[in-house]
This record gives sequence, C-alpha cells and structure tokens, in this order.
Amino acid sequence: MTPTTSPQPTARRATGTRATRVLGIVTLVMLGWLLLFGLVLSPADIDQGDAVRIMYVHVPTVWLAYLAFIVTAVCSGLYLFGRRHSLGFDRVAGASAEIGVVFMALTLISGSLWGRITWGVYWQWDARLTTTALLFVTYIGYLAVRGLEGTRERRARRSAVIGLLAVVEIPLVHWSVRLWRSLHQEATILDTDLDVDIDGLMLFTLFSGVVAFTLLFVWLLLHRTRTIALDDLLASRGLDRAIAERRSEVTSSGSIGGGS
Amino acid sequence: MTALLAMRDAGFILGAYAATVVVIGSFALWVLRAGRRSGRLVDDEEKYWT
Repeated sequence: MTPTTSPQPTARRATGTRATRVLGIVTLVMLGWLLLFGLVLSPADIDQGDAVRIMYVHVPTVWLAYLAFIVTAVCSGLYLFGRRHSLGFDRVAGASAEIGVVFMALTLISGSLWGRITWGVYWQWDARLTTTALLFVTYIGYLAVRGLEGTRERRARRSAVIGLLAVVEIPLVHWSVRLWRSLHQEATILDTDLDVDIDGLMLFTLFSGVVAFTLLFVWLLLHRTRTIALDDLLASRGLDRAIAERRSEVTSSGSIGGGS
Repeated sequence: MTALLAMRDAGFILGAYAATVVVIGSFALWVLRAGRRSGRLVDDEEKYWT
C-alpha cells in the first residue's frame, strides 16, 4: 500500500528577488557606514561645529527627493506621450513620488533641527524653506490625486499631468537661495563656480550618504512598484468578479422574468 | 557613546539621525509588509519579477 500524499501548498513569493536581497544588504552596510562616518569619524566644522553632522543626512535626503520627483516626471511623460501608454510607467511614477515625499519630510525634519542649532529657531518663512515646504505639499497633493476614484487609466492620466507640472518647482527650490535673500546657505557642491568648498573627509562622508540613500531609493522603488502592480492586479480581479456576478444576476433574473 | 552624547547640541544631531532611521525604517517595513500581503494572493506566474 502506497501512502497518499496531499500536495503541499507552495509559499507564494512577495516582492523580493535575489537581486533585491543583495541590494538590501549592501544598502544596510552603506547606511551603517554613513552612521559611523557621519557621527564619529568625520571632523567637526570650524564654523558650524558638530551641527555639520546633520548635513550628512539632510543633503542626501533632499537630493534623493529631487531624484525621486524627476523619476516621477520622466515616467509621467513616458506614460502620457509614449505610444503604448504603459501603466508600468504610471506605477513607477507613483512609487517614486511616495518615496520622494518620505525623503522630503526627512529633509524638513533634519533641516529644522539644524536651523534650531544655527539660527535659534526651528522654522523661518525664508525663501528656501518656504519653497521646499511648497514642493512637499505639492507632492502630497499628487499622491492624493492618485487616490481619487476612477479607472487606472484615468488615474494615470491626471497624475501624469500633475507629475509633469510639479517638477518645475525643483529648480525654483534649488535656486531660491540666489533668487531671493535667504538665511539658508548656498550650495556647497553644486554651486555656479563648481568649486567644492569642503574638507576631504567631510566630502567623502557626504558622498557616502548620497550613495547609501541612492541604493535605498532603488531598493524601495523596486519593492513599491511591484506592490502597486500586485494591488492593480487584485483590483482588476475584484472588478472582473463583480462584473461576472452582476451578469449572472441579470441572466438569472432575466430567465425568471422570461419564464413567468 | 559617551563621545556622541558629549557633542555640542547632541540632542538635535542625534535626533536628526534617529528621525531618519525611524522614518525610513518604518516606511521600508510598511512597503515590505504590503508586498507580502498582496503577494500571498497572487500566483508566482503572474508576477513579472519571478
């Protein structure tokens, strides 16, 4: 007599792959590296003292927020003007905007803590701070629009238009310190004369922060885009099921009506 | 650790790092959990990354 074996349910995979796991580990190592250099190994600044350490998280978060919003705009353009109007671009745009909003929130938090040390206040209605807050609120609005009711195509179309318009704010934020009189210091790296006015170890730490946060952005973007794809698939299945149920209801009520 | 706490304005500096770690960590966990939750309901053949 041979024992009968019932088929074992196989565990379904989530959004991870071998590549994302490797990327996740490398990102964690880089973030640890950043903490070590940012808090311990890099020197204090002559003018700012230890407050300069906040720069190693503040600057990478704002750069990555810019990058995330630019990715949103590029994918919005590819969706709107591409021949196939692929919803894949819309998913990347949405995922990137979510990540950008998180990074932008961190920029505002770390910036206000730096402001408290340097200026004595957490917030000033200064040109750089105000335009940054405006950029943050714009992308909160973008995410709110993505959550509105309607088909996926309609959601993609209207959010793509906003994604393309909102990105115009980024140059305004970046150049606000030159356009208006601002409390905020000018760019240390990306200034107009391209002269890097920063100590070697500080520059290395800042660069480590940018690399760590870029890897984190890619890792988050891959996972979040895949999750949105899964949610879209489940939503379309739910819609198909609802339509099928409605059709069967109409058919059965029609046959009852026809029989009576 | 003592050296970190001895820094001038240590509360603000460590607060900025702590906020970064907590916010990013929470967001990453939320993303992973949402992916796991939805991934359980979909066959692997329908996932373009598998």
